Amino acid sequence: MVEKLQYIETRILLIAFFLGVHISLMIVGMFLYMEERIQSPLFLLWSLLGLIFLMAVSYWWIVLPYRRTKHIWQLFATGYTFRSIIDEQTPLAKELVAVNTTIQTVLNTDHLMNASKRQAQFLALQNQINPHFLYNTLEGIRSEALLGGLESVATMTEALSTFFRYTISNVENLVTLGQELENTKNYFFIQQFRFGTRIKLTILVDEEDTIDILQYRIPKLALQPIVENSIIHGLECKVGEGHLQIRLERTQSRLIVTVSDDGVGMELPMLGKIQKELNTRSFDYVKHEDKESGIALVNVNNRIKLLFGEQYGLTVTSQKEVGTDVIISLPASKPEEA
Amino acid sequence: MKEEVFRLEQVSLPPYLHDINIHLFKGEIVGLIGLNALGIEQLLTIFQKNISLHYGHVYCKDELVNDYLSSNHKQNNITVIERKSMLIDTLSVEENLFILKKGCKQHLIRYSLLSNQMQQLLAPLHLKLANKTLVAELTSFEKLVIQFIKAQLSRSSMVILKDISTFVSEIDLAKLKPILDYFSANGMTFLYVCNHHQEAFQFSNRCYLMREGKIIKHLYPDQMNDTIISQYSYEFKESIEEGSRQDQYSKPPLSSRDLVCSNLWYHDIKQLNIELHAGETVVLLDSENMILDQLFVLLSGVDVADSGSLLIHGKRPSLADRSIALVPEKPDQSLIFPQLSVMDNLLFTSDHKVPHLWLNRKRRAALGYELQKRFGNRLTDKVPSDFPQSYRLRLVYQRILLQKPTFLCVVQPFASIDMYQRMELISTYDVLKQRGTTILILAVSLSDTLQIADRLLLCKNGQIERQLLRHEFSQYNGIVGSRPT
Repeated sequence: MVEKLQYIETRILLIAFFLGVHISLMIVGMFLYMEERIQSPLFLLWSLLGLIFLMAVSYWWIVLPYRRTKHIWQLFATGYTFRSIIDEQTPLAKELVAVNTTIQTVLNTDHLMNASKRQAQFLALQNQINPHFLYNTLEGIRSEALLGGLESVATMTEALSTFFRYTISNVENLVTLGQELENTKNYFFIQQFRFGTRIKLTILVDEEDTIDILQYRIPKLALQPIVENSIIHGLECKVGEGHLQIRLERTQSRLIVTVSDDGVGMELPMLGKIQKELNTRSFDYVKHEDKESGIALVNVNNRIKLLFGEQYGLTVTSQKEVGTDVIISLPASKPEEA
Repeated sequence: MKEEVFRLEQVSLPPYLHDINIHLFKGEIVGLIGLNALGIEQLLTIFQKNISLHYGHVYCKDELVNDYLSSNHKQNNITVIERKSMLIDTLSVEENLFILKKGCKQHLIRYSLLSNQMQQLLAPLHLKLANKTLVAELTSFEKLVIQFIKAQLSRSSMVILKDISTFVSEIDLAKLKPILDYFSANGMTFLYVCNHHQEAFQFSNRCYLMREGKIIKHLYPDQMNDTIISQYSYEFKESIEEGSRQDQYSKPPLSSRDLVCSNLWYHDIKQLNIELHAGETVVLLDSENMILDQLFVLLSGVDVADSGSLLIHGKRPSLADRSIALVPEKPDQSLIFPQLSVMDNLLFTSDHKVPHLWLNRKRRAALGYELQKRFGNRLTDKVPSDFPQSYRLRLVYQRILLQKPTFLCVVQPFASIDMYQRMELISTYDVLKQRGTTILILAVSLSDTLQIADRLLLCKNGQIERQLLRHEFSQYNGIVGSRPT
C-alpha cells in the first residue's frame, strides 16, 4: 500500500475516501446536534479543523506534486528535458510509469550516443574514403616527401595523418582536454596551410591552472568540430585577418571552454535556429547527412548532455560583424575520478 | 582555480528571460548592460530570491538553490545597492553596520567598541567619518561605501550595484574604482548593472550584454571596446547621427533670455550665474552632486533664494505657470497619477490650451482619438503599476508636448532607461527644440545628454566653473554615454 502512495491517483482516491467519511460523520454529528443528543457545539469546530487538515494534506500531497508533474510534461513536450520525465518522482498512475519506461527504452542513451558519435566522426572526416587506407597512404606520402627533401609536404602530411588517427581511433567517449586540444591545434595547423597567416589561434588559460586543467575529461571530438565551424562559417568568409580564441577556465565543479572568433557572425534567424536546437532535446539532426551550418554544435551539445546531464552543454551567442562565441560547460572530472 | 559564486544555467522565465547562462567568480566585478530593459528586473529577482522558474538551474557557491522542479522561494544572501539606500537615516553608521544585522545578539551596546570597529573598517578605504554620525548626514558616496561594508559584514555572496551613476556623482564614481577593487580583492563579488557600456567597462572585469531577455554577448576584457559595442547599438548611432538632427544645433541662439540666474545664493549654491537663451538646450553638470536638488526647488518656486535672483521669462518661477514644465528624476514613477486614467494623465497640464477641458467630454474624446495611435485603446483605463516603463515615460513626455511649455527643466532624463527608450527620448527632445523650447538639463552624470545639448556648464563648489559649446564637447574628459560627432 505504501508503495502505491507514490502515485497521485492513489492519493486522490485516499483523500476522497477520508473526505467522504469526514463529511458523513459531520452530517451525522449535525443531525445528532439538531436532535439535541449532542449538547456541545464543539464537535463542529473539530469537524472544521479536520476539514482544513484534509484540505492542507490535499494541497501538499496532491496539488503541488500534480503541478510539478504537469510542468515536467510540458517541458518534455516542448523538448526542454528528457531526463526529468524518466526520473519523475510523483507519477500520475502506475500505468504511466510503464509508459515512461517505454520512453526510456526508446530514448536509450547508448543508441543515441552511438548515433551521435558516428555522426561526429562522419562530420569530422567529411567523406566516404576508408580512413585506415587514407591514413596509411598519407604515411607513405610523408616518407616519400622526406626522401625527396620536401619538408613542408612531410609536415603537412604528418599533421593530416595524426588528425585522422585521432579521429578514427575508437577507444572511449572521453579523452583529456590536453588530447582534444592537441587534435584541435593539429586541425588548425592543417587549415593554416590553406589560409596562411590570415587565421590565428590563441589559447588562453589561467597560469595556475595550465597543467592541471589539461587533465580534465572532455568528450572526444568536442572541441575540434567547434573550431572547424568557426573557421568555415566565421573566418573563411571574412575579409582580412581572423582570430580564433580558446579560453579555458576551471571552477570547483565545472570546466568552461569558450571558443570565440571575430568572423562574420550569424544572421539572427540562423542564430535563433541553432539556439533552439541546442535548448531542446531532439535527435532529428542525426538524420541529416548534409553538412548544415550548426549541426556540429548540436551534435557536440547532445553528446555532452547524454554523457554528463542536461545542465551541461553548449551556449552560442553571435552578432554580425562581431563574431561568434561558443561556450562549452562540462563537469570538472579527471580520469582517476571516473 | 576560480571559485564560482553564482551561476545561472539555461534559466528561462517566459516572456521575460530566455536561456540565460551567467556565472560569476569570487572577487570579480561583472557588468550587466541592458540594451533594453526587458528581463533585467526579473533576472535580478532570480539572483535575490528562489522564485519558480520555467526551466533552468541556479547555483549559489556551487550548491543548487533553485531549479525548475522545486523552488523554495527563499532569499539568497545577496545585497542590492540602488538609489534607495538600505540604511536607516535616523540611526548612526555604527548602529546600521553592527546592530541592524542578522545574528546580532548583544543586549548591551558598547558604542566605543563599535566606533572603534567602524574606524578600523573605514581606514583602508581612506574614508573619514566621525563616531556616531547619522546616516542622514552622509553623502551618497559615503552611504554607498557603508553599504559595501554592511554587505561584507553580512557575508553576502554577491553585491548587485544597480544604476549607481544615477545617484553618485561623477567625481565620486572616479573614487569608486579603488574601493571596488579593495572589496573584490577581499573576495567580494559584484554585479554592476547599468545601461551604458562606458560606465560598465570602467569598473568591470568582464561584461554580459543583454537584449530582449537574452544574453547576446559575453564580453571579455579584450572585447570591451567601442568598436564591438557599436555593432550592437548601431540603431542608436544611426538615429542620433542623422544629418537633419545635427543641423538643428548649428543655428545661433536667439537673443532673448528665458532663464536668468544671477548671483544666486541658496544653501550649497554659491553665487550661481546662468543665462539661457530662448530655444537653447543647456546641460548643467554638477559632478559633486551638491546643488541640483536645491536648484530644482528654486526653479519649482517652492522656496526663494537667500540672495540673488532667479527669473524665468522675467518672472519668479511658479508651479502654476503652464509655460514652465519641470520633470524630476524618474518621472515614470513620480509624474504618473495611478488614480487617473491614461487620458487624464495625458491632458493633466493642457487645460490652458483647451478651454473648459475638464467640463467638455467631447473635446477630450476628440483629443483621445488622436492619441490612440500612440497609446492604444486603453486610454480610459487607469494607469496600473505594471505598465512598462517605456509606456509610462512616453506618457509623461506626451503630456509635456501637449502642454507646450516654453521653458523645461529636467533632472537626469536618461537615468535608468534602456537604449531604445533613450532613442525615443532624444527624438522627443528634438521636437521640443524645433518648437523653440528652452531646456535646462540638470545632471550628476552626463549619459547621452550631450546629444541634445547646445552648451555644457560644469559646476564646482556651487558655481559655474567652465562652459563648453557643442563643438567643444570633445574636450570634456569625464564619463560620457555618447557625444555628438
